[in-house]
Amino acid sequence: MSEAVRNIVVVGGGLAGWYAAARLGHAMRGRKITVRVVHAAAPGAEADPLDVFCASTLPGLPLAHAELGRDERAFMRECRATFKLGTEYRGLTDPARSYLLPHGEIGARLEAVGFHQFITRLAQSGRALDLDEFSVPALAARLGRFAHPSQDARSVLSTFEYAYHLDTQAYTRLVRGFAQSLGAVAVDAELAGVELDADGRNIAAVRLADGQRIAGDLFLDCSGARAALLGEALGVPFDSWQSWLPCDRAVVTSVAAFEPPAPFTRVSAEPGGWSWQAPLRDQLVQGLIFDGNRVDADAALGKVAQSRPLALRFTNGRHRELWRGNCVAIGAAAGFLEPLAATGLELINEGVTRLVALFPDRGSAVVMANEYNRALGAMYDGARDFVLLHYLLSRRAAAPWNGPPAAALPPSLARRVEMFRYRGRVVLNDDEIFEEPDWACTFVGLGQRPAHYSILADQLGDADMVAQVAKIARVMQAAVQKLPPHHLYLDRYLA
Amino acid sequence: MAAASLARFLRPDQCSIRLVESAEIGIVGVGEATVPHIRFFNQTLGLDEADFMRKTHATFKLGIEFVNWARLGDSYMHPFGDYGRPLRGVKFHQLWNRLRLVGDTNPIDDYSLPIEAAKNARFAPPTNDPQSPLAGFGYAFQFDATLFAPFLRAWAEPRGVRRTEGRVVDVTLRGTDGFIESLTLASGEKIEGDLFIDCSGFFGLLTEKSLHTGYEDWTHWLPCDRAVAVPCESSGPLLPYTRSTAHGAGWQWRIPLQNRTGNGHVYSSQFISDDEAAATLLKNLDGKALAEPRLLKFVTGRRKKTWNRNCVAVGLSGGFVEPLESTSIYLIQAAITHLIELFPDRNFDAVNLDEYNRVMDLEFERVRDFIVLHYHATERDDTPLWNYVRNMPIPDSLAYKMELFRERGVVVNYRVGLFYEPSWVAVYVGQRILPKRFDPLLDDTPLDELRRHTGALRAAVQAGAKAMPTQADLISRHV
Repeated sequence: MSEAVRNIVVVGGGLAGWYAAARLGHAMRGRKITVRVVHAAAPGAEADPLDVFCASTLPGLPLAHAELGRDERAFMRECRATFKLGTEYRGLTDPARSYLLPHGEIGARLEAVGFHQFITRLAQSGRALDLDEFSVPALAARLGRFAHPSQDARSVLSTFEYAYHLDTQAYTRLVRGFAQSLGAVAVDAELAGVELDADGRNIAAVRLADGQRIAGDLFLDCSGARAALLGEALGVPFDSWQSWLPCDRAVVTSVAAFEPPAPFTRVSAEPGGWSWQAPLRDQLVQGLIFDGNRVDADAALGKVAQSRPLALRFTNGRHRELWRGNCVAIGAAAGFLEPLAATGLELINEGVTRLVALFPDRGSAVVMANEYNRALGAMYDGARDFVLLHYLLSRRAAAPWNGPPAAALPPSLARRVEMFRYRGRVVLNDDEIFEEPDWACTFVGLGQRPAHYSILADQLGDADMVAQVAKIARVMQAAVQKLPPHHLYLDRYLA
Repeated sequence: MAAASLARFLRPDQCSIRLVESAEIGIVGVGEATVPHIRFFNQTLGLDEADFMRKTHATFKLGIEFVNWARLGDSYMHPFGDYGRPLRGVKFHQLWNRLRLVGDTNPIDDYSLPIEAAKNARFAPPTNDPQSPLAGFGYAFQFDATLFAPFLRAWAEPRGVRRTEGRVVDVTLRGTDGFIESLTLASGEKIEGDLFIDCSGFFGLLTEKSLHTGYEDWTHWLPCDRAVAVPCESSGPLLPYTRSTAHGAGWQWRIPLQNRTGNGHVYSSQFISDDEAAATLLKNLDGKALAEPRLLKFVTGRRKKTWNRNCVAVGLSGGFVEPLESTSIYLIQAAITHLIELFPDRNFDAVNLDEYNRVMDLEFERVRDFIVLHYHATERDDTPLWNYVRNMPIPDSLAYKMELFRERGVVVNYRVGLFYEPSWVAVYVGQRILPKRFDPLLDDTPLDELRRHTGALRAAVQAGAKAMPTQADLISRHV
């Protein structure tokens, strides 16, 4: 077919670029295509902040690996990976308070209504319980325990998913090796220029510093925040979210771990920003994400101390279109969201998944791009709402944890907050990364108790409800007690 | 349905439920076809399937056959189930489309077990084992709506619903805010309430006649505005599907019940007289008519706020999208489900009403788009109705969906709303909206490999359908 896209050029050899090359190569196995990955980074260039933050992931990744047929053990060994059951958020509303956002269900479905509705009812009668007390992964995480979810749908140990913490450089090497085994070719040269076609809507070729000119049918812009193709060459505007999300800098380092790895990511509010800890098997990745106008970068570097910290700069936001003409941006070239909710690799993953589902030929690119921009744009904006929610509901004295940002909220978030406060209803759009339990757990974790609860939660009498809720907690607690410590499970699983 | 659901989900000490109906006002519906969600409704109430089927003369339904829609002489079925199986992650309809574009002629119907079973008048419930050839489909019922109402009444009354026979002659609004305060019956009885559910049908006794909520008219997209209905004697095998046959100025339904067949002609009064419409109906019955034809008038569209003040419009009072895809009862269920999820207190806070209306608007609009597709995607040019609908401007939301399918077979999926990917595929393909291009993932897949895969699926469908009993047998044994 003359219109087939045969020649794919990926600009940027970081995590996003190689991950996209690997997924595309796998989806296209059996097709006659070429995938070339241009290393666009100049020597000594700053690390891509998004790559660095991909150390903490979401549960889409194990699913993607399974689809790719990757062996989990080999991957985990190579990337020094640990299991992740959720994220602990500390001190966002009160220095002494923390909650755990788990990857899994909350409670059990009683009377055809979300469990959190019963917790609202109990709160109104004076028993303010946290939702993470009714989550197997949250309970297990706090005890430092882990085992793979049970396959038996009747077991309470089937009610969760998991993600990973991983060494992003090792992971980049791994997906690069996989992409190359599927035929992707690395082109080791710096990007020197971009040639557009006659009407200026498509990219004809990229020119490299060594004089090569690489033409292609489809270009993936994985060049990081500069968005060399989508932004610089095609002129798609970048919409900054900085008035809502002021953090724009980070320092990150890895230190030797003195404790066994926790099966969760830690996020703690700090003056001017927040600190981040993602445990690998033998190391702890830690960082400080902050507003450069409030925190002195040198002081921040001092805080994380030690071994060669990376200093990173970024701007939260996304491009208005993520796909224009024959150019699709993946990773930081598409958009950036600070890693408060570990969305980095998940958004890359969703982008590639949608690209495969909407894979164009030369004649259909415009129609496919519209749908891609609609769906993936909604995912970015939903993830932004989710991250912004944490700042909005914060109640500390120091910025940025001192409550709502000055800028008017995105209407989508305002509606979500209004409906949750009113009656614990989680408003979800068609395309979302975070689902009902994530939102409910975050709202409650941040101290929001709905004014009303669903009338369905009144189906049970008081004594019956208290008994059922207590029973769920008991069953879950007993179940997690039987799980092995995370580090022992890792030792055994990866032996 | 509303009273029974509320009685099921609300504690009697929280709410008292009263239902006012008048025997003088008939029930619309002469044989009602449904979508599989009806089973969820029945399960929620704990209804026994065999008992329900016996008492409402119900039959099983595996889908809807559309005759003469895209072209005179065409026929396709919209089944309740998936087509085929994917190959290496590529969706089945993309495989089918790849082979179609190189000239293979097997219709997509050949890959649907419910279609194959339906065509042979067979039925068996699906199994839970996803690997079994008897999985991957759903079913609904066709039943007598005039019998379903008393059936639900018998369920609801012992559970606390207080029914009052009477005609509402006056509605009193509260002076302060225009909320409904009470109803006055012909007997003089006054019935007060906090929340009023308007199930008065097209008339909209509360929501429109009293609250003047307003109606968004969709006649420019769905021009049919009348129906004439008549039951007839059963004939031929007992078919587990509804048939919709397009005529010159509308279409005719055929809904087989255990004891008779429901028929109706939905048409646009712009293009045909009532007498001609009735004559067309009677001419196209496959059994002897059992009653005089009854005429119904309606306006397609949606109430501007299906929840306005303290009044929720459920059923035809909330909106009407004509019964082409058996969505009326689904939309009733959706209205009740969302109402229970958003059940108000006496403050009737705007935030709550707005959320309800937002979700119900999506429900209505997504059903509407699906129905409009059937009309607009036609090649018929033999009558003024078909010329009109073929050329009319359509909702942007539908134009967007159609373009993606026409381009490359992409179906736009969503969270809220009734119809999922297989339903859209069925109707696009059946209405001859066929993708211009194939999925590029199949560029280099050998056609022989695709044909082996699809051939095995066709054989499995044939074998699966043969293993099923006829619906007539099954019903006589179990119902």
